[in-house]
Amino acid sequence: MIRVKVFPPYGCDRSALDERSWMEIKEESTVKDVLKIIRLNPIKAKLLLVSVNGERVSLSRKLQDGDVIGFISPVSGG
Amino acid sequence: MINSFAGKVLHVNLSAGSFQILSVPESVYAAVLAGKGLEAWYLYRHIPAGADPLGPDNILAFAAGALCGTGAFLTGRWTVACKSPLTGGWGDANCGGVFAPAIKQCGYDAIFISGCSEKPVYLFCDDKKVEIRDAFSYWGMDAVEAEKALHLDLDSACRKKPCIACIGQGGEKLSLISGICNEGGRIAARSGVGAVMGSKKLKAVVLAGMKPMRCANPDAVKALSKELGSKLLKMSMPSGLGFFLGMGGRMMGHLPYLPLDGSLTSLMFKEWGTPANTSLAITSGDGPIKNWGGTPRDARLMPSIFNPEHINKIETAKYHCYSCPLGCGGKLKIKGRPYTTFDETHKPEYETIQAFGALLLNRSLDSIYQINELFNRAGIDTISAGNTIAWAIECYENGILSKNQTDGLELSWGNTEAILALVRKMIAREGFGDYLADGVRKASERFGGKEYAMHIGGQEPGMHDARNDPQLGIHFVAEPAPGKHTVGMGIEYGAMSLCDICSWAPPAKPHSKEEDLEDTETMALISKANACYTMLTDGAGGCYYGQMMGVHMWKLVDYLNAAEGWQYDGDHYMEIGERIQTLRQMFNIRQGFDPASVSLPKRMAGEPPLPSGPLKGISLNNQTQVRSHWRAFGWDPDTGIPLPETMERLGINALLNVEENI
Repeated sequence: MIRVKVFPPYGCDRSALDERSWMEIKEESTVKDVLKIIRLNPIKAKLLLVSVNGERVSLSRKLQDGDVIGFISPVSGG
Repeated sequence: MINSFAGKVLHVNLSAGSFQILSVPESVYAAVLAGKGLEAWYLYRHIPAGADPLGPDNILAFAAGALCGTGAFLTGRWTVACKSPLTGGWGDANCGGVFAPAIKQCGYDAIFISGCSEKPVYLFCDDKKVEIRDAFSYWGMDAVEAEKALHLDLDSACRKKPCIACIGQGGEKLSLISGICNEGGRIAARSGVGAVMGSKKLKAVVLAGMKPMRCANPDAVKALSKELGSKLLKMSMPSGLGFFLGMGGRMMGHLPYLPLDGSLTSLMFKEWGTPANTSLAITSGDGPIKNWGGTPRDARLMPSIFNPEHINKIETAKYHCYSCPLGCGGKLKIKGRPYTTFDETHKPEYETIQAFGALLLNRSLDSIYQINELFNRAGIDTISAGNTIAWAIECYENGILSKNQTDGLELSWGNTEAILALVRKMIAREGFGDYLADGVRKASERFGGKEYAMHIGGQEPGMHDARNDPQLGIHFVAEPAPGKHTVGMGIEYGAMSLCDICSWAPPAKPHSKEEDLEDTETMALISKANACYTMLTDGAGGCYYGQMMGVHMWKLVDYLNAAEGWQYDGDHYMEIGERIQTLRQMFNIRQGFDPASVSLPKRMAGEPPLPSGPLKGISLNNQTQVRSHWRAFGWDPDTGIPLPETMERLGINALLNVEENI
């Protein structure tokens, strides 16, 4: 098993995540597998520019231990 | 043992025309790193209680952070600190560029300047000499002109091109909202640090050293930077998305709080720089409108006017700070545009666009380019200036100020010509502008309209609204340099994932915005964690945009262990941040600055609440939350004074007894 951190967008199922937003998944799992677990439509995920460690990726991208999966996130600053 | 510290500081006394090079014991670096931590340790011990901020007893400090020069990415910030003439307590400001490594290349971690010269001087240092030189011919120049003139006169005599930090007319004329500039008008703007430099008749600090900078384990640092660099390189965003930012803000304003992936902030900063935030801020409730009393309805069309794509269209080059792979800065070609008299300017920061855009209901982006360049050259803080002009407009609109008092200017909302005229008057300290040049507290003390004066402990707040982010409101008030917006926000906390490096930092969870209005232990621990991590970043010389990427992208703990040869965990480093923050608070106590006297202006606290918009009906519970924040730090919740057991736990009493050696 490997651990990945996920920042799901609004309306997703967070029950597989621990309180720090990490989840355990099988080795060789892809982004698409994670989308299934958090119940996020792949089309919506693409519209939200799904990324791994900040890099925009395809849904077939295989995940590695410690990866961070995010979606477009405007954070205030300046 | 080899680490990243130079191990020495330079102390120049301008009254005596003398200097000393002092060795700093390693225990000090272990306790507070360098940068703001070293400054807090030094200034607490050497600025006498009750010192006049514009007198010879005040010390102006320039410091590089611990990681500067090690190869760690996003660690090129330099910090200026002193007793602030704006607040009467701790003051600091921070800036990028290449000045931070220049301090270390002269062989110092920090340069401290006390005393006052009788005539204008500049300080020249390289790794062999320290000289106080005559600056008569540069006095009166703006910061860009002075830097150019100094380069023209000095470059050929130096082994390397010198790095220069200088003041413009703002600092020379002792404007209490002035800062210190480098690299053509990039400014360490806050706390009135420019006025302190001006009071010392110090026009510039010129650094031309070539000493190598050290690091315990350069290979490990390099590996961390390679990992981060390769992630950043792979990031990209489809072009033309700027239009959607305003829409995104509108959604954010009405949705519950959600932790977000901080790494994606770098996408926005790479693409647009900080102007990425403007449209979002106007529609979400983050950005203040009409002197903090308006709603997005007052700023119709502004999300489109300030769409960062417009700015990108006239950007001629992007630039990076030292050791930064991100490059959020840029140069704009503004020649021939309405209101502009210059050929080019730096890309204005979000803070400037908001302070001279929606805050004043000014719809001209071109006028903001001009104001940006004028204030960059004068070395005046646009946050403070924008807040001060907003007060003047509201006073005029409400009959508190008459046309006679404003030198005939029609100070109505959105009157671009009047705003520009006022900016020029502030820089020249001419007529009504002379009163505004010292910030909104002084102006309102003279003319009235205190209810419209938005300042916190004397300093004008950054362009983010605490009613949208109550966590920010805690820092606005509890921060030893009140009014600064860079210490912590709820939304940034969610992005940083501090819970993954610190055992006591609460995990960020989705929650309703109403929950942030409550006084809870979780809220207090979050604000403590925010402040500790920001102080740690400042001690390391790090960039706040590195912070925002989150601990999985910008690995500060790993960087520090590699650069210093240490093996500490995140809890240890957060305690260093806690120590720095407590030292800064102690500085204020020693100087007679009463933390309990600081509060948000009523309007900013939601008293009364706004009747419409994303901030509709919100009133903060700020004073109670601030007291819980102090309690979490181990400070007296009623007075804000650090408790004896906290001082003992953090080893501060022992640290303050450590002496530097000549």
